[in-house]
Amino acid sequence: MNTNINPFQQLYFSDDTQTEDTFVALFSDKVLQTAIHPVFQGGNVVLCGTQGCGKTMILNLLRPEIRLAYSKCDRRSEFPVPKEMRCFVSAGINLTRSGITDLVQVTLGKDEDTDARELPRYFADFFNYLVVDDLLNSVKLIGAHPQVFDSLVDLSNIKSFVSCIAEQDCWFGSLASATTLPELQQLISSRIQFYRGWVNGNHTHTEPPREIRTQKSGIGEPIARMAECLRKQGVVREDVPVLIRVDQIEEMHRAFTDRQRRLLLEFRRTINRAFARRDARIHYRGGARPYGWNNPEFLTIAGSAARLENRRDYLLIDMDEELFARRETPNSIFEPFALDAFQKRIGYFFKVEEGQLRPTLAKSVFGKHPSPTERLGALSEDPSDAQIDKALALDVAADTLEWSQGWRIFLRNLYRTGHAGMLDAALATAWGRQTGGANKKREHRESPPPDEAPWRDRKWWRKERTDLAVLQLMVRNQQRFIWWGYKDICSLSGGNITVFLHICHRIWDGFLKSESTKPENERTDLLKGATIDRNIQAAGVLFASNEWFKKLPEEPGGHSRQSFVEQLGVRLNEDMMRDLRMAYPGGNGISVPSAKYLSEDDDVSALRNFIRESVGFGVFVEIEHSSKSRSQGRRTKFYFNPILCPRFQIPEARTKEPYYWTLSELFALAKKANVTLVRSRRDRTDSHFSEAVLPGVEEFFE
Amino acid sequence: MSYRPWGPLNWIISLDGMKEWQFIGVIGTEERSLCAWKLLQEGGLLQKACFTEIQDAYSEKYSGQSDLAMISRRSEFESAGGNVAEIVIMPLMAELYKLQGISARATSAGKSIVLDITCFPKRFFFPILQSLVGDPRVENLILTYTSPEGYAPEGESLYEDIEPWRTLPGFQGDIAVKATWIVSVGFLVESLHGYANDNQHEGMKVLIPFPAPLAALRRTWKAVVELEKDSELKRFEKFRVDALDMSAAFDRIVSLAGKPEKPLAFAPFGPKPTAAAMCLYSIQKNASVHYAQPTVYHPAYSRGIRNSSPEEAVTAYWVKHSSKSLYAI
Repeated sequence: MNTNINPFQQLYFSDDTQTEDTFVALFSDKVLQTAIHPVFQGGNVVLCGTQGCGKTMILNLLRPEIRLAYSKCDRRSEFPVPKEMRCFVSAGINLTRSGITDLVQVTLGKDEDTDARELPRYFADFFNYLVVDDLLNSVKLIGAHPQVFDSLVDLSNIKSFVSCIAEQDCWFGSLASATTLPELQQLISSRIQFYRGWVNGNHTHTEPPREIRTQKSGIGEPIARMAECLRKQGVVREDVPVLIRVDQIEEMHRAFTDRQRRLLLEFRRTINRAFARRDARIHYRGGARPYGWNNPEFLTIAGSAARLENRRDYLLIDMDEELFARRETPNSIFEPFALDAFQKRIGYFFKVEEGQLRPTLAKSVFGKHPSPTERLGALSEDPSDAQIDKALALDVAADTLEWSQGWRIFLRNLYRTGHAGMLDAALATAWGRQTGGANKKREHRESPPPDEAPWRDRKWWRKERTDLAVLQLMVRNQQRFIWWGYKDICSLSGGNITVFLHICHRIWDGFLKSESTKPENERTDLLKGATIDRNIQAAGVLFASNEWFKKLPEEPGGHSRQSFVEQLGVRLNEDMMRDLRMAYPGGNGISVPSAKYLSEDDDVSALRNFIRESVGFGVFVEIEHSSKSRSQGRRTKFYFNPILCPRFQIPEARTKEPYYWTLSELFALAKKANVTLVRSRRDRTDSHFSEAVLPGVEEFFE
Repeated sequence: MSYRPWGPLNWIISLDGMKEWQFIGVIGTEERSLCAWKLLQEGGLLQKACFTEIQDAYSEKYSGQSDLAMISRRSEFESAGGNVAEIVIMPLMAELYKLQGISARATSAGKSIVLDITCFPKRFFFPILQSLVGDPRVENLILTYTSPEGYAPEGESLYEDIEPWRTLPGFQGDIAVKATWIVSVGFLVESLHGYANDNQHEGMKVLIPFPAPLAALRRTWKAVVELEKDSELKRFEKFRVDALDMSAAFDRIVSLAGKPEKPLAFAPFGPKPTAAAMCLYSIQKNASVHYAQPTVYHPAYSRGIRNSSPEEAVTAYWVKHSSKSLYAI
């Protein structure tokens, strides 16, 4: 086995054209079929999910270049779309890469109202031309490779198609002079070049030239007409759907001034209008992070008071919840996805055919996850009385009662029976501090230790507190709660394949370092069933967790989120360590009343936006749940993305009710973390500029 | 190749006898923001000064301190003869047309411009420099840059809440072409590392500021180490460029483009003079310039001025003389 390669080094294989072959090798075709199927059927579909969940990879399957790459691949990978769904033509736009949102950078030189009214029309026109340009390129590519795409496209009628499309009234004459495909593409390209020049500030006049002003096309219609003409002229068959990708929709909501916010929202409403047409000639495929889709304000439709509606205007596929079950339902496809992704990476980077690899290799490489007592393996089995008392926190100042000698001896003896005994002792200590019911006052420890062991026999009571007991024992012994084994790694991945690969990367790195010091004949061959040492895994997991935390500032607004996470993580760890009775074993999360959390109050909205954006960036998981008490109504709970748990020494499993917080506590934490909830508080900006008398600027507007 | 004078401001100005310069600069929280202007003001060389106060995003952590620092800076400005009422306040993420308005304001007043890039964020000075270079009314153009004594303490981040990796306003370039990356390093380590890590197949030519002021040296090498982490070393081809030598940086860029010229794409995460060289190249070759814009800056991003000597701290560069661009390719 090559001990120089780390097959998990590159996390992302984006939609860059250079990575098409890699895409073919690494795409988990079989396990993602549930996500793939709706994308290739009729109607509009929106893939929504946190960063790194695989939206773009799935949307990429629509690109003809990817299908071509599959055909060229000598690994005998078959295009992972069922044969009956392969008849489609697709084109698309990436809202970030295309630069289309840079239209906010220009002005028509009159006033902001004019910009807000007119620029969305130019946005629609720019959008149309970018998409039809891509559509023509796709058609040409497909037509040039009949051996791959069969008779999907027939270019023999392209001339009549050009005549047909050129005379469509949706262009307002802009393509009328085209008689050949190159001429048509040239006209489209010129229009795109104009817009690129405009948003780059290259034009001396603020307003576009007359031919652009008078030939603006309406959102979506030229694309639909092109699809119609392609079918009508026999370039594509009547039954071939045309699928239009619109990726990174969330990018339309990053604005810093009121003007930008207003314009971008109008642009978004313009795109929504295209979705709302439910035009049978074309079907849209959107890709967005949750915060870019779930805000009702973002779903309003230009020229209407209506909003886009799931199931009516589009089908929403929430990848986090429906596919990877990040919530609390049993996981659906994440585990097979992770196994497959692991297998494919190993096969690709070690150049081994998939069939020749051990099945479910990840399970043998990482091995079995530890039992609670195995997690305690680092604790001394021959502790002194003082060490035991400290490990069980028998003499902490916060304790309400003194432990009797009888209890002390009982607990020490129990503790000394091995790691299982240590766990039992910790649970017995917590049980001793409990009263057995909310109305009972007397703690169990006020009686002598019982003959039976209720902390062992009550299955759920014990199960819910086991992780907390392990955590407390480890930390009080100056050790860390550690994770290893395949199941732990999956659990820490939180249903996100990028996190899974990230953990694999760091563990593999640690493995390579340890192997490099060994003579060649003593090296471990993971491809033949060996397992990476648990200590290397534990160190890799911790490294990955710290690194994930340190990466938070790489994303917009990340410093604030990082600071908030730090404060919350430390607080939760402290609270769990202080929970001597183990009354809140689910204290690795927090819960607030939904009614208050969803309030329209400005400050609450700002806090909610911050939290939801954090959810969108994969920092937290947000789940609505019922309160312990029916009278308290619904609540919303938040947990860390599990990958952050090792850094803060918080068990990732969600076993019980989280801490119940008030909204004020959440605000206080945000304040302590210096989180800026309302960006617009500095109100001198922007308006000052427009009000100022600036001769140079006026001249610029002339 | 033209001779491109650069050096101490007084010497640079003395190369031409003109005394009617228009000044474009930023009044900011940093002490160095007014240094070049004060030198010119004291020498009686300025006809007009167009100052912009750039407000970063509101931050619970920093805005209070920034506001206090600005009060004292404005008062320093007034004491030195500046007119606070003429300062234009703009948001950090202002639109391109407003940024171009800054240069239009100066060019409407005269044909000789000093653009002080010291405290201008790159998203401002790139389009401003582009406008000035392309404007036939601008006959003489000098850039100035003031080196600080040091930067904010190591443990404190110089900036926060960074925007995604994007092209600078007006510098989308030709996105269809496959370009060779030229990267300068020093700041915003995490963004550069993030991009490099996510795009492993892309090689990068890295301009390392060396020699560089001691204040920036540690950050620079840290940035290089961070950039190379998790990547094959051969991806990064390193070239040393004097942090203050804009002319040498420009020549290096031209040589890296090769003959015939390969299309280039820039990521200016290093010193401002190197970034200005990238700007001057990209203006002429329609190269894209990529950056991850912080939205909040440390109120004490830098401290003092180098050697506490304005004459030593301010470096100036002739860019255009008598309508002739000294950086024409």
